[in-house]
Amino acid sequence: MKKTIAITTALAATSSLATAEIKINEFLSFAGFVDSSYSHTNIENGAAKGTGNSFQVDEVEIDWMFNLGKVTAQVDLQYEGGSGSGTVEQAFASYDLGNGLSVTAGRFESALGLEAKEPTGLYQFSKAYDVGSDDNDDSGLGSLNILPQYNQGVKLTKVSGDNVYSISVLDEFTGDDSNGLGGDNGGANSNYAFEASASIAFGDGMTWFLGGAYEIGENVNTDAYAANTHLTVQSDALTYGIEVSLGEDEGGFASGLGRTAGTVNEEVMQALIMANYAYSGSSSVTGRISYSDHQATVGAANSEADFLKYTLAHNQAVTDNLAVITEVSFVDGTINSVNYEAIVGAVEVLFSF
Amino acid sequence: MLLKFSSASNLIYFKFYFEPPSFGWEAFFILFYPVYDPVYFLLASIWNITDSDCMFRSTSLTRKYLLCATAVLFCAPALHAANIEEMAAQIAAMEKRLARLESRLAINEQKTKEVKVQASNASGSVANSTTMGILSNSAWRNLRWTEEDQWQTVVNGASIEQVHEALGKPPRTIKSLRPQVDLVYFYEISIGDKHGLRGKVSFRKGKVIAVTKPDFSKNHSGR
Repeated sequence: MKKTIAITTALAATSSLATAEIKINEFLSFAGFVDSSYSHTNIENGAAKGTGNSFQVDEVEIDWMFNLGKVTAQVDLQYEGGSGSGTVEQAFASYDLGNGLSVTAGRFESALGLEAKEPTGLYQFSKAYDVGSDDNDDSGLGSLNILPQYNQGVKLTKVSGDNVYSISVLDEFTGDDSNGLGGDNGGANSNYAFEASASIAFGDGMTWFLGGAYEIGENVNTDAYAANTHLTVQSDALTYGIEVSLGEDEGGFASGLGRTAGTVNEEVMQALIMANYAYSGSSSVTGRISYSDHQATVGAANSEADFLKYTLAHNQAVTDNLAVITEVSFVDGTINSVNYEAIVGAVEVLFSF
Repeated sequence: MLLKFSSASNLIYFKFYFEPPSFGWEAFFILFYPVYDPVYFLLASIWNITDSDCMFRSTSLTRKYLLCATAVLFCAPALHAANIEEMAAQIAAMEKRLARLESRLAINEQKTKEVKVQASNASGSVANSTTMGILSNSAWRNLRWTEEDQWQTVVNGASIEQVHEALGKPPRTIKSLRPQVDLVYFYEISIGDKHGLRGKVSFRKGKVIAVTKPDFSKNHSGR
């Protein structure tokens, strides 16, 4: 949240404003980070109990940036310790049309969401709608976030001063797609989606964001939408943020709550409020309260779940590119009137370059 | 440009059908105009020219030649003046060109000087020699930050654009993990060389909030 995703993503693709990079030559530069942590999780999901005890490199990422004048490109390669696999997180090329307009094609990050999608942009260890995971992933529900993350498509971006507008055509945003772009696609579920957003800077550190995504399922009832708005206010030492997201997926959003395409219709409301106070040039504390409410129709039955998460984190920057983040968070929720609780303690070491 | 002549009242006058006039034929006639009357009366008194309505229609070739020769004689100073103006314009253009060449030369001399500064700072190490080889062969890398004077305008409150103007774009940039710092520019010859020149500029909301200038006082014998 130090820099809203909408702004950084758009500017990286459309302008020569500086971003993190180490120049290799005039055309090629790179940046990245190493994120490792120790975390302990206690989860009670009804009668089931689980613990998580993780000490690992959570993520390593190297971003390669190419500058060929009006054409820029970026390839983000990442390794995630949880899955033990390397993936291409982003790979896109942008063409600068002039007057702040650019067109981007490839796999890129969604503009939706207050929280950064990378740990280098977070004040905390965990994300707002992550309600905990245990070692075997049988009691914890993991992330419940309904907002788009990274998808393939084409995006048109307009940067006007500190304001950023974007509209894109995507292959999907929910995970329902079979990698087609609409059509029958051999009988498989072939979705396509649209995303639009606007980030407006009011001055004095206040920024308002409004955006949404809509996905159309061609063969199976997997239409979905997600709307997101957030407001951030940054003063010298204080940063406030508030966010509300609404969404509905006929197939149910991909989360630990489970889904059965065509039989689940899930409606979700998520919100968070956070404040960060920097009490010195290298230290800050962050408080966050987040809420996630889910109502689903599974066949003839209704299913309800809601979660309230409290997070307290401390961020200690050792240098400009090395920080230690400690966090304690507590999740209190119910799933169909069954209690769900999770306590997470974590120490994270983050190195960026 | 069309010119129309008439000898009415023993004067040649002309009309410009297009405005504004420019230098060329027009200039010749402008210059010719004030000397025509004395020439005409001089010749008329000598050769009894009577066709005053159109002197040039005289049937005498001798008169025509003499008349033209006299006209040329009187016009020579005026033509000379036109040549001077033309030459002045040429000199002005050459001076501008010279100024441009001098400017380019100054820039190249500055770049050469900066590379020499780097070479003097990085002497004694194979790694540094290699680095300097890369640096001196990398035209893209702007090294004006190695000049102490360039840092004078890099003060708290300066914009990113002003820093680019003064120091050039940095070889290394990071998004700071410090809570009140957004971006940090590192100006350094080599990350591993603790004795080389290195400076740092920190930004928040697009403005400079902290500057660490290179230590220009040590290890700069070559400057």
